[in-house]
Amino acid sequence: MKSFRFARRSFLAAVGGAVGLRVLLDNMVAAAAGATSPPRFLLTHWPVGTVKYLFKPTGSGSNYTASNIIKPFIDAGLKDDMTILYGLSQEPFNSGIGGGHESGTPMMTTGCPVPGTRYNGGEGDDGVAGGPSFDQVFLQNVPELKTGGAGYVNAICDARVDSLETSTQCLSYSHTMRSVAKNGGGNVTEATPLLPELSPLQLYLSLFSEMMPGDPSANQDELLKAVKMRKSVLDFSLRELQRLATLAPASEKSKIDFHADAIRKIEMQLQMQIDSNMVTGAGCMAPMKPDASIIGSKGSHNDYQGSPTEAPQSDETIHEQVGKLHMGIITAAFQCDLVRVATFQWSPGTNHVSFKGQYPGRPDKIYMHHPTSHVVQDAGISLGNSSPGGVQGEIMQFLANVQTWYNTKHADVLVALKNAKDSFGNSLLDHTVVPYVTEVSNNAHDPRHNIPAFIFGGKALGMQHGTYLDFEGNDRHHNDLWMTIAQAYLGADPLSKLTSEKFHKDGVKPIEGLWKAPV
Amino acid sequence: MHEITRWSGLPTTLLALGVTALAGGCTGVVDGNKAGMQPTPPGVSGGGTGGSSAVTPTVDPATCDGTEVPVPKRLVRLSFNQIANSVRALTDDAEAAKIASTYEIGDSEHRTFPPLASPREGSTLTDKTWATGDKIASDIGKYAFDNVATVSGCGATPTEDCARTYVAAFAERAYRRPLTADEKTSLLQVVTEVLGFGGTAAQAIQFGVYAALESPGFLYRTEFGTDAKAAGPLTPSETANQLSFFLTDGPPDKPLLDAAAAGALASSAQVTEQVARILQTPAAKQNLQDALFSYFGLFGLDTVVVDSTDFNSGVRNSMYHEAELFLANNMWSGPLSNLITARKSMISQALAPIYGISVFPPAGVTPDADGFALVDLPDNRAGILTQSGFLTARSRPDQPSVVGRGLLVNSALLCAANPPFPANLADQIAAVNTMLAEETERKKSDYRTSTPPCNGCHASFDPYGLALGNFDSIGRFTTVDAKGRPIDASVTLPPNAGSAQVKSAAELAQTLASGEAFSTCMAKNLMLYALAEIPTTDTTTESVTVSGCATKAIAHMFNSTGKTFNDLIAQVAVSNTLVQRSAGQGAP
Repeated sequence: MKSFRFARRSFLAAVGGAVGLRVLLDNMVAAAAGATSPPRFLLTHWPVGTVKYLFKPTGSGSNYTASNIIKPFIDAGLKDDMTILYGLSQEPFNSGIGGGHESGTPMMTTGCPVPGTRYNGGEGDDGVAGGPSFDQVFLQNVPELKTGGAGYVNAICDARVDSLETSTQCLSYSHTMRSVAKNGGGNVTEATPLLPELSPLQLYLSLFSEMMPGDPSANQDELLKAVKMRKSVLDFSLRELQRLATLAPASEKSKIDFHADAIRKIEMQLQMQIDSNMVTGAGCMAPMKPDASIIGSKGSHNDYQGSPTEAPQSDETIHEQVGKLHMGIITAAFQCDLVRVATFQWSPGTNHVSFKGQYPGRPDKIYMHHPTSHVVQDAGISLGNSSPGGVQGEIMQFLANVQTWYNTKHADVLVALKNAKDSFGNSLLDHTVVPYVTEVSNNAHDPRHNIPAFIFGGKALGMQHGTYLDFEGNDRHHNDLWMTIAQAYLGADPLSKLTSEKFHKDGVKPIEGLWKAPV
Repeated sequence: MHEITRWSGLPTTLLALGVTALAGGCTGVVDGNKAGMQPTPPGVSGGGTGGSSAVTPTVDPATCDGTEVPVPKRLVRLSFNQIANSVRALTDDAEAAKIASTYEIGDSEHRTFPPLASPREGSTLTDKTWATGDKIASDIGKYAFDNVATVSGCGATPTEDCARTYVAAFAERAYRRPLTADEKTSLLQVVTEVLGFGGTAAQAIQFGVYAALESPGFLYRTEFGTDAKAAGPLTPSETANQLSFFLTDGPPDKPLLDAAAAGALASSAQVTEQVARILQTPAAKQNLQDALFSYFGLFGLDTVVVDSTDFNSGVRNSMYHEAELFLANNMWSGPLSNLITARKSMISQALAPIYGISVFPPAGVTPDADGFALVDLPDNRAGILTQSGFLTARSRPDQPSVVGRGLLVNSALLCAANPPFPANLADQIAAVNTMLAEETERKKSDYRTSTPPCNGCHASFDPYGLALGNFDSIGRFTTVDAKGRPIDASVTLPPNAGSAQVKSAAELAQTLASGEAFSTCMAKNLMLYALAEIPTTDTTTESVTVSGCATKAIAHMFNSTGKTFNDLIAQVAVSNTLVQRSAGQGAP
């Protein structure tokens, strides 16, 4: 009897805080005299937008007072590492196709209109990406962001979706375009989703299994020998793919090309190690291997009943554990310089994570995040200037409390990133720009205007922080956010260096005052 | 009028399986009110026209003579479940289980119907999927190193010659065919290089095994035939591989490989003989049962939320297991139509009240070790459609869904196209939702099926949902709705189900079973499964369609057999769709 499946959630909930990630690394030896810390990019996301009147600080510029939603970052000492934005807009490139969260997510990270919805057997609102996401845009156009191997890693902490959607559980999209079945018939061309790892163990394996076994003080000759043996295997595989290409029909060539491309990325990494006589991992220790049982939930869910939507058990404990494990692994990967580009997503915008005690006056009740947001009846409520009172006001407060929960945990991982030093003894956060974005403005309706966002870190790359900028009434193009950040990697005129990229560019420019060329 | 349906209970690709063309006038979806019914007010115009495509195979089979070759030469990657099963054949159960556990291969995301349809699989090996395959290959190489004496037969300190011999022999098993001389030379170059780097012979075995499992020879099945430039049949080895992965999701066993080597897979009779043999194996039975479990959306029981105190984990588990047993008991004996008509089922005490069975176990029947016993269900039941698990897996938390059930029957049992949600009508739908909120499901459906533009789509699938209207969210039979109003399940079926009048779910099932639509739909989907082809909505790119000649040819032949599931499998296995390939796009 296959009933074992049903014990899983309760088991996960019972795991508690027993498993943590061992704090990571000794400082690494500088790779070369005079060299500086490399730039890095970490795209992060929170779900379900915000509630305007509970989010916006009072005051402006550097003279602002944070709302309770934002206060966790202030309390964590991150004010000088943070810029708060309100009033970004996806409307200039909104095709009107797909669901609010479902299309808002790829629009948010790609800056492209959604060209159609994927036929996936589900609801039919699963917006596809019209171009690569900015993490991949930067990786492609900024040589300093490249490392060996794939060069990036993507993580998500909970992957429950409404109905088979890919869009809401993916921030990252490749430059590789492909044709997929389109909802409504025919096909649509999409940027290929680079799906994130849900399991911290799988994230760990994807990054640290490349490191050779043994401690960093192990004999470099032996490690190097193992690298050469592995490279021999990959070279063999490339030879065999080449042979296969001579037999396969042209229509199958792309399969072989994709396969070979994946191998070459790793093969090049190994060759670099051989050329430098240094194996990745020297001076860099892998974090503790996570327990396979610490993993978020996934699958399609239809939990939209109730007002608000009650859940049998809360997810905060496991959700926080997974988030901190993921971020610990990404932090370690940055320190070991395995990757310089990553995405981190707490949950899909259609978030089914449930929280206990966040609903005003109901400390013992457990409610799901996004389903509860749909109890809000009027778009004006969450975009209004004050509480509507009654149940609607309580729902707004619940949503704000959940966002505050997320911000508290996000502050924790950002502080860890700030305190972590790379091999040059520099703060990772100072050399990493960390946008913290959301796919919609509010919780239900009119999702494309008045979108909030944060930018953290990257001070050593020229990012200027400490301010709150409110663009409500004079929306800034959402891609202004990305061009602001792009300056950290491409200098003062990033658009001129990204002309071949697909993102919407009309009227786009960096937000003034948030970047200054580092001395 | 449109009911937003949380399709959590649907399988990953089940609805896609039925698609041949989508209704016109229904485009796009917005994230509207997620909470309930969304009818359209009177007078709303635009959108929602069209409906599902007809699937009844009315075209003269004579126009489809079975010689059509719809599939071009292809390269088919193994799914991760197929890789894990291959690892089992190459190592042992424990190592395969370890791989499946470490790389999370065993969950429902990797048991989609057809294979590779999950977003986490796909037909192409890209960065992430390749990396997983690479780690598996590396792990098995390490396994070979750690167990070199027992694995290689070369002793604890193998000689270099023995290492070479073993690696070449291992690769032949991994590739599921003999290696060419060039392939062998290329593989053994790895052994030579490892030794040249100062590695031991045991390490040469480790990296040789790793290389064999990293090779395209292991990771793909080719369907190129003997002459890659011309149309023609698969080679015997390719036929053996396709057949085995179709039936067992694993590599060919020795008798099948021997038959391929002896040229004994050339005729339909020879293939049929092998199919009959393989279908007797536990591996084939388990795989095809799992495949239909996925096909009927039963994995949805894992996650479905039903707001009922009568739906606890014990009931959920029992539904799951009942469905497993039902498939196991009805796939391998009796006609295919038993799947939608059988009234015997293995149930537990927890399910007895749901089926209205007051005495459990029945007199003289001893339950099995899990507490399940065979019972005759009441005559209001008929096959999988009225199984409690099937009905529950696609319920909404507060009530059953007429539209959700209708869409499922429409696509999964009839292979008809389900239209997308009409985004342009979202606001009107919300308004009528409110207007009709207190009406019966029948009244709501009457509105949907009689009022333009809703009727353009809903008339083609609502009737199936209404016919199942006597079953509540967890599949209990009831004659009244939650407000005590009588439920009327009588409907006139849409044309693609023969336009017959039925009064109940049982009559619906009997009607579907008596025609050819269900078996034709199953034939089409089993071909997609065998081909590991990811379904699309584009009839110009999909190799196999329900109205295409390949499907009709099988349906025609199936009618001359005993009409069992095994007969259908055999017809699919010997069809040109599986054994022949066109030259395809761009010969090498």
